[in-house]
Amino acid sequence: MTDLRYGYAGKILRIDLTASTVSTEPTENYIPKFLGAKGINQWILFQELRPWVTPFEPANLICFGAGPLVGTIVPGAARMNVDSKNAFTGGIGSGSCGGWFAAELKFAGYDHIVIRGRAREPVYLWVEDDKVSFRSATGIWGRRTSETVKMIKEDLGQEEIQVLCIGPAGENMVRPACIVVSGSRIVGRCGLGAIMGSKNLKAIAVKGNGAIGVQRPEEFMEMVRGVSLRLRGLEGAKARREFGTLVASPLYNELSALSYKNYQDDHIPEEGFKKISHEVFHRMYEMGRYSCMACPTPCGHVYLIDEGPYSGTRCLKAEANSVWNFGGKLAIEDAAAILKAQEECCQLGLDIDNASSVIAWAVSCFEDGIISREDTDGLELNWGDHKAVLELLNKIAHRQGFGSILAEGSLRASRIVEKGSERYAFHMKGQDLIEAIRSMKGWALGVVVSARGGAHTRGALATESRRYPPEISQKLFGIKTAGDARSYEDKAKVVCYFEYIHSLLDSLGVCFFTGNWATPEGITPEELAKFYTLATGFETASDELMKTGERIHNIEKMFNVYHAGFIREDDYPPKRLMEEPIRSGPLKGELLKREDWDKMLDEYYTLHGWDQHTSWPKKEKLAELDLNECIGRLDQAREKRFSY
Amino acid sequence: MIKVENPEACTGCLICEMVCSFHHARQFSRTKGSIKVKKSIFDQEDKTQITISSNRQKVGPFCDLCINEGSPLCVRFCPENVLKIERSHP
Repeated sequence: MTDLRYGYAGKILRIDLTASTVSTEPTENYIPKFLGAKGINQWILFQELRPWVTPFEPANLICFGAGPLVGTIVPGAARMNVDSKNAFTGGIGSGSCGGWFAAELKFAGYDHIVIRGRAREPVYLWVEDDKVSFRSATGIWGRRTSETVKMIKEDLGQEEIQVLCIGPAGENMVRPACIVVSGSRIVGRCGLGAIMGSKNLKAIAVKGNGAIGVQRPEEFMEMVRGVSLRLRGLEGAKARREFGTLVASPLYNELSALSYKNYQDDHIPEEGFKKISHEVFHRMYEMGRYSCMACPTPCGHVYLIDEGPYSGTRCLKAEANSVWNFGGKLAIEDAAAILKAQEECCQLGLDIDNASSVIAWAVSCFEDGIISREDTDGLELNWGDHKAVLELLNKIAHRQGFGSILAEGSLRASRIVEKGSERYAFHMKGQDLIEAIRSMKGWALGVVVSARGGAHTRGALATESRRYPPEISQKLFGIKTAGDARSYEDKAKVVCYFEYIHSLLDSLGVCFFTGNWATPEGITPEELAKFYTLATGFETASDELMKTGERIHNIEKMFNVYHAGFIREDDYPPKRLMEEPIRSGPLKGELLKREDWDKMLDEYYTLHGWDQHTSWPKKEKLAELDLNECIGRLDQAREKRFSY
Repeated sequence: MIKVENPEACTGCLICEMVCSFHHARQFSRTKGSIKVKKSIFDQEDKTQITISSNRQKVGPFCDLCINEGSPLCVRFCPENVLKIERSHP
């Protein structure tokens, strides 16, 4: 029997909302093979979800997971991973967030919460250690997220609790709905908020009075201390402490890697960009900073707008994405308006990435004359018009009028509107694309092949935007090109590496900014293995841990194979990004060439041990990864996909 | 005793709570230590309250300045230098 006294909390909480039942299962059923958080969540989904179940059906599952390092003080070990069937793609839906919820869940005694069914009436879940109850959320339904948290605290008479919840967007099963955690941290993409809404589940509140121990406490503390000091001294950490992740947006703009006006270009004109640089946010609006649980390198900031039309707005985090989405895609050259839009999304429970993308699609259609004021409930849609954007965000979240079409995401919306509007729907596997991908080729590969449907939180490289010199690239990856944006050469190798790294970080519960994604001086796989060993007592070497990362990555891939039947053709960028070059900026003229992409994909599949024709894992690979259960599913998927 | 030197610098990472409970119980917990951080980023005013269990305010086991740890862990681990040791008998 596995000794689970350390690192892990030891239990998985199983909730059936239809039957109002609660049970627990030992976490040991899944470890160390599936590690934790994402690994276990996705294995449960793969085992228990049938492919014909659609995302909003009660039979869909939604799994919340806190990894084995969460609840300790490994730097950045605050993450929670949430997995379900993707509301956009029908494949894997997966998102992660920071904050304090995951640690509280561990202190309450649980590594995971797995939820199935649909409650008859709106409910929220209240978990205080062994006591788990369903509480009515009828009075809270319809409320914005900060009000929801306040009402739940009042309802329970508890101040010191952690709450995750959805806003009106999730309740109305708006596909771009997110889950808002600890009031400011977001589980974005994949429509996970809408899935909570489909289950009539407004929120989960948790209070943990227990503790998490580590197996070799003295060595563990010594190591934490050393790594923590090193991380705090890094330039990137210092910059994020000062400016948040906003500090990364110039890196991307300088490499023509920010979508401007829905991919008309990948570069924000300098004049406009100056008005929304990280320095403007910092100087004009920043009030204070905060960090997630156990993070010695904070990146959270509190902003307050004290002048102009949005005066009085407090915003609890602006990310690089806020500038990409509102500043770039929608061309809003006004920092206060960006903060307002960000905060409005947080309150409505809308994911800024997907919500801004579908609005960008609408503005493109309006500009082209495909839609007019007759279609948009009288709204004039223009680039940079933040008033219209704010109005649309509200319409989307409440599914009012034109907002109800946008609530489907741009691909589905274009199928409703037709008239050639699909031309403006930039998506991967059905989910809106947010990243600009024409300039940096390794970044592009990571984004495009991502199983969750376009995202830079899988294999996408930061080595290009951070311009790793050839000698560093050689030392780290055994190739020279990791820092060279234009090069396709050997990029697949680095993408595979970071796919495994992300699987590990998401499964252990560690933030990728304290990991080695953005800088080689972050926590390395060797250090992750050591932390895992010291914390849990499972002696694990780094190559063994990387193998686990590969296994988890293959589970995610197999979920897509079995449930969505995605093949090689789904791993190509949107057609227009392979035909129309970037118009301005330092990397003007760049685009993704199909023949180069083909070569890069071939190499990528070969490195993974996946079939080049289908893109699916080969049986030998699955056997090597001890995923024999997946082999039968591969045959079933093949029969389904290729029988007609 | 431990003095809260500059509470406004606190980022709410709760590392002090964790290392404090580690000292008392060799485990990480929000309920087993002497120090309690309450940082509210959600109110209009950014409020940070840091309470350390002493004769006056009991929030957990009394702070013993991390006897046997070499030096107080909360001071050693706080990334923002919010806490410091104050010697009452100079």
